[in-house]
Amino acid sequence: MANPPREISERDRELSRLMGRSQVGDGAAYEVVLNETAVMLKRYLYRRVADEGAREDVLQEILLSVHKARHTFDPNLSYKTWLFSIARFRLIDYYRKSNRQRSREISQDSFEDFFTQEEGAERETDRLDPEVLLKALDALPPAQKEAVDRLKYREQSVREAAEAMGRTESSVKVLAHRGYKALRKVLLKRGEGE
Amino acid sequence: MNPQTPLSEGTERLTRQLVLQLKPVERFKIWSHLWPYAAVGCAVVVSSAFFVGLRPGLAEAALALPFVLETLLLAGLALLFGYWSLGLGIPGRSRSPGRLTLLALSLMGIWLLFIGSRALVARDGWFDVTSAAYVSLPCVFELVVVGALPVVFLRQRVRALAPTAPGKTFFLVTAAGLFFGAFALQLTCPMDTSGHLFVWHFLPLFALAAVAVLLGKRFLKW
Repeated sequence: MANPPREISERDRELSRLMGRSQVGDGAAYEVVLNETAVMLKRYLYRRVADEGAREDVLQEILLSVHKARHTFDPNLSYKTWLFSIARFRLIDYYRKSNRQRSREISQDSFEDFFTQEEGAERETDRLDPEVLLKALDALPPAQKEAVDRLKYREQSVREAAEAMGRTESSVKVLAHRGYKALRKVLLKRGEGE
Repeated sequence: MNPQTPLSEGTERLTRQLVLQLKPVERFKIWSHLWPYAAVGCAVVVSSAFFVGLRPGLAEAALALPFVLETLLLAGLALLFGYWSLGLGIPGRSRSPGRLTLLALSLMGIWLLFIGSRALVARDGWFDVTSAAYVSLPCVFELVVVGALPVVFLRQRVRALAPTAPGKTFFLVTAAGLFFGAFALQLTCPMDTSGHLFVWHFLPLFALAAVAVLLGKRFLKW
């Protein structure tokens, strides 16, 4: 059931009218609507998305959604209500995606900490035999080996390694993490054995 | 990025592209989508009656007012839920759907009353439902088979819109289609006990609709 018509501002009414004209193919009206929409969205997203790049992505995503859903707009209703319903939906989508991604990723710092701890332990015991390490590295699956090699020995950044390997940054981090874990296991086993 | 700074190069480029791609669109009207959905639903119900066969004694039952009201109620629920789900495809349209929710809940309550009233009037058994599972399962099958086409049809229509609450919308889409299934069962199912109607008609409908809540994001992606 439609909302009862509520008081809408003059500018909102004007945007509704322009959007109505856009629906019949008026490009000039559409340009005004999109430019004003982009400015409103920029303000809306400013406090809601901290990362500047992500904010720009979300803004563009919402503009695309507005374009895609323009046939659902009713010029008798508020343009802003329609627009911000879409904006909120896309923003929630973005939050969900970034939360999911964050929960899957292990930060670069934690890798570094892990490796530093490992190195520290090895230095302490002074048992790090390069041959053993090379053997352990060789035993790793090729992708893990390459990730560890690029990040740790060639001292490439995650982005550089990802580009060189043709993978995403998250995937490289995960590969390296698994590689470190496997190496640690081998080295600890060896330590216990001695 | 200060909100006062001008738009980025990328956003301006995108805006220009969207303007260039602009084509006239047909404005969405709920009724023009609701009637085809209703036609599909009714066609499936008629086909089901044709293939499964009408229940014995339907002619006498059709003379009884409660039966007629219950049948109309199921058809009405199928249309109401269909209308509601199409409405949810329009961003910002149903910000306070209080009246619709109340209406839908009341109608479902009335359906439950109709089901329950049989137990009071005929004093039929509530507890023979599990022992009759083998004869009752075809009802669930018919409910799903008859409801599937309206669900698919309505889902296509809703997906072409912009549903901003996909879980809730897909719940309504599924329930709407399955109400056509329940409508068909009203005409074909020979079992009329409260227990049977509640466990094999009412519960499966809402169980499937509840599952649809989880699938909404996937099936109504736009």
